Amino acid sequence: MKIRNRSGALLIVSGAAMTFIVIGAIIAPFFLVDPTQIDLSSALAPPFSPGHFLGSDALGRDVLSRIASGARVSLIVSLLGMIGSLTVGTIMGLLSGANTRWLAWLSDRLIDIQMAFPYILMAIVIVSATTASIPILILLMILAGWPSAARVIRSIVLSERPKDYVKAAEIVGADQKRILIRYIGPTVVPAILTIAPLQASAMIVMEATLSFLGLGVQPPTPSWGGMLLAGKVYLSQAWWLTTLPGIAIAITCAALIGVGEGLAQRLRGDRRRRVDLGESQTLTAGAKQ
Amino acid sequence: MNLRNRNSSSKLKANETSFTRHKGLKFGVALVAVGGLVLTTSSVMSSSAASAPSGQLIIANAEPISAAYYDPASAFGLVDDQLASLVFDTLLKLDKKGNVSTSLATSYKQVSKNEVDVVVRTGVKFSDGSALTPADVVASINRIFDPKSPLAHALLGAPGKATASGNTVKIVMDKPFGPLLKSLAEIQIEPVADINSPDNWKVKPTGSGPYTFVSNENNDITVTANPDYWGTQPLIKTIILRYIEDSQARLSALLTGQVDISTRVGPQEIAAVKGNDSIKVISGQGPPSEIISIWRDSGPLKSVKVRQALLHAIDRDAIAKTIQGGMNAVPLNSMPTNMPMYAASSVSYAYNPKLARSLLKAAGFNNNLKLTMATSTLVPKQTEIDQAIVAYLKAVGVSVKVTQLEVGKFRSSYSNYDMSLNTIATFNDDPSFALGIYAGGIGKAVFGWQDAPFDALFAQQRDTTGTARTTAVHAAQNYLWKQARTLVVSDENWVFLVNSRVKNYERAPLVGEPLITSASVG
Amino acid sequence: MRYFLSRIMQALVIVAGITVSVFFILRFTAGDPARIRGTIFANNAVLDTYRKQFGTDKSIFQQFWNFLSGISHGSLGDSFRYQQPVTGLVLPALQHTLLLGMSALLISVSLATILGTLSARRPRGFFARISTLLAIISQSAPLFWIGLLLISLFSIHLGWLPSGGFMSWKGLVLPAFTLALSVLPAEMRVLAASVRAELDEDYVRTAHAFGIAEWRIYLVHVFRNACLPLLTVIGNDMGILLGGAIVAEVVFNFPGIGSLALVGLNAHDYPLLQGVTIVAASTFVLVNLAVDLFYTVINPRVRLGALE
Repeated sequence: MKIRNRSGALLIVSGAAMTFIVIGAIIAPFFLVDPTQIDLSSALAPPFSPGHFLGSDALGRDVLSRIASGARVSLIVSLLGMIGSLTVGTIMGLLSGANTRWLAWLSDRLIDIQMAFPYILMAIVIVSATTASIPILILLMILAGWPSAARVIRSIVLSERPKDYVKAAEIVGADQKRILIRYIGPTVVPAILTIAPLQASAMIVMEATLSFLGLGVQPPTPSWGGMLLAGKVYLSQAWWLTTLPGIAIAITCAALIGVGEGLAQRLRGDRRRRVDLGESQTLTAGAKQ
Repeated sequence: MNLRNRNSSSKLKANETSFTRHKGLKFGVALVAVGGLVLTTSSVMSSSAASAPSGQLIIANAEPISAAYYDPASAFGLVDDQLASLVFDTLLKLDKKGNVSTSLATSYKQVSKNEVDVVVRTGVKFSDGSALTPADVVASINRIFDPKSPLAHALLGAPGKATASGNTVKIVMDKPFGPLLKSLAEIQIEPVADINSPDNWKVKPTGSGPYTFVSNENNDITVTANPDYWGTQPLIKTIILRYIEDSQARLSALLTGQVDISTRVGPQEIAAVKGNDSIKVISGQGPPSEIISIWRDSGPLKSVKVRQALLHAIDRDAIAKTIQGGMNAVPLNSMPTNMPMYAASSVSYAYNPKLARSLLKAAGFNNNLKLTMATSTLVPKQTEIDQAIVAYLKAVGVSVKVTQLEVGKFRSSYSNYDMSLNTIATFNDDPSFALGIYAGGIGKAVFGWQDAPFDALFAQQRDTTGTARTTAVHAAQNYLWKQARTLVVSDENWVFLVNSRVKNYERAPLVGEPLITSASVG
Repeated sequence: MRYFLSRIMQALVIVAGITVSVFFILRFTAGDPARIRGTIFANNAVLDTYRKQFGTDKSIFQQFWNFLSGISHGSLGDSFRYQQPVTGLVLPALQHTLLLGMSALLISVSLATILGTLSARRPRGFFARISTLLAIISQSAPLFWIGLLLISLFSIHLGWLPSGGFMSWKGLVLPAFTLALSVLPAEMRVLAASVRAELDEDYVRTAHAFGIAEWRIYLVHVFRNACLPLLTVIGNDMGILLGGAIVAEVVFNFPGIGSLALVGLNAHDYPLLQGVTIVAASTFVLVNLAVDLFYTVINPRVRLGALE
């Protein structure tokens, strides 16, 4: 009973934090100054300056306002990326567990190739071939995240396959697609739910990293990574430009991870079923670099 | 256990003093005596003879050498020009103020509007021992007249020919050419042998200048003083051009004394050395250079009222003060303020958003003007400057769609966007190089603008020599300015940070470092 | 044996695929490098000279053929920006990146061993809590942000270490440490889990009963068995490290292949970018291959083709 309470607590706290962040991201920009409003006369103002609670950047734009707006971009991009990645990952994972050898082999190989290729280099090549924009960014998120999702799904499928109920379905004559979707499918759902927040968290970090390298969200759209990139030059003069957006990222990700872990504990406790999360690091391995 | 060697007695023998006994001591005294003798002799000698070059100077650059060859006519970047100016000679040279005087030439004369004759110095040797003859001078200049030459811009593609008769080289232009003398301060003289076998330049540059090329390895280009130099011996023996990519690393190398000079620094570094007595800030001693926003002559920007409105909407002074840390002046005409014959206009396009709005309205735009801008990281602080411009324009009802391009694509995409920031660095301080971007084929390529009246004005100042030229230059720059041709954001002031152990460091308004021969270290 | 060969073939196919796709992607989408090289005053004659010099005046298939024949001589073309052979730029950079990665691996494995063991001994203790904290930080805080904070602290405020470049070994400390942080939690977790599992085993209890010193038990017996899972994680880490190294290089201005790739991207120097991508990808594939093969050698279960 003690365990359940603790997992409950984690879930509640992280869930509350996430809700607060999401609501804040949606609502706050209506109450705050325009994040793209420049004011060269109050550039590089430290936190607690008049009119700039968290300080201002090199063009006099309000940091608090930019962090709130950046939250919107980060959350939307990660959400869409996560949905795409889980979709592709689930399909590929299910295919890997399919009976048809070549299909399984193909998806295995694709997963391997993806995981072998350093993700940042792939991002650089793709951006140089196209352009840096939000749709491309989401594409990169999906490309980076699907292998780890696929791996998890695949291991579940492979462990469910030998079970009796699947064998029974095969004997009765159900085809592959039916088995995968109607029988093994439901087992996979809790795993997806648990991975989702972890993937989202990894994608927020990824978006920040890509924006930091200049490959992600482009100015003047505020983004956390972009703020860190712009602030890097002023590291010795204006510490708040690099510290505060980073804290925002860290808190959001920690909350998401908390939700993920809390869900996982919940499910473990409830169903006594080992939801194979692998190592959280491997999950996000393809994504985090 | 104390083992004493009984054989070596510690007692003095007869005839020995403790002094003579100790061999070490004897040796030491001898050494000091000889040393003292040598020192006094050499100091006497050196004070009577010309002081031999001594010491080492290390210059830290933000970029490596650009060209594949050490051919000075292919010089593309800062480091190429630095090296060329040390290793090669030019016929004429510029002093700190940009005044022309003789260098490799013993005298020069503007014989007519089209022709300049120079008398080439005799007894000059290249670093490989071969003699420098008028034939080398002629060949070096004539190759610049070839329109395919990368350095053709030094003569703005104006046709002409150099010929030698005896020791005199006649440079005859097809038409009068105002920038000729300044160009002669930029065109390096190379051996004919190298011009005929350019592969020699894959190995090293051979020139007649104050320094000789030693090596280029591991980010260091080393040159050493040329003992057979025809002119005054440089005071510094070895100069190293060092490439340090990271600006923080460059700064700490300068502060810790690992390098002596840091080139082309930005406001961050200048702020970092404020109050530091051991670092001097050398400002305003570079080639005239400016940051402009290239405005394509198409769509809404074809209207003078619109352009003027936009100029009034942007607070250039605030940009220069805040984003650029106050290191750049803001010109009131179409050329950099430190360009000779620059003259501030009476029209100032002062920051006045209200006026901007009314001008836009008069031009028929009411909060519905849309423009496109390409941004990149080519110009220092470009992201911030571009964002400031966008914000200022937004405040008067102009919406700008910004596209981020990486540098290469950016440089080949000017024609696709209404506005693109750029730096125009002139190679030496002749107005033709700042005005030339608006004229003829270049104007068309860069701005999409071709204007016969301006081409005439430009040709006028280019084809005038001497003092009459000033009027022509004024006419040309004012023409551009009055019609608000484009946005001149600010000068681009070349600032150098120099360790105080370097004395007498001066620069001519050029990219290279020909005046470093009078600097000394220590 | 067949397994070895098939894996090697796979690796070669992957490298070839990457080479061809990178080449064509970059060539089709690039701007004209001659325009980039030339000054704003350059006329067409000058630009043509550059085009000849770069070889961009030929058809794309001709260029590809030249590129392939170049590779057979060990050349990856010449960089437009640096005007030097790409191999001369990429190989030293690769060395630096590998050095960075290996240092990070060393640091992380050492720390993981110490912290992991200590937290396995006392699962609720101080070290276990530190491990959890590090895990959370490393997963929620972006690598480059931690790097920036470290620069701020150790370089700007304390002045102990340089903020970038690679002038001396000191320039390696911050980037290696930052990188190590990215793989540390996983290693710690795995090591702690396997050590804990070992500690429950009978032979450990027997050893205790025999009065063997605790440190000896850990060192000689427990580690040997706990190592295996750690090796799997290390295999995974290689990829993460070498990828994370690229980001770390940007933050710390470390002269490795990551920095070089970004220079190639920004200067539109596609021989350079292409060379970097191909060499980097090949290195990763090789490293992964080596780790896989090594793993099959030491773990007979895999060799015999059992469940992954």
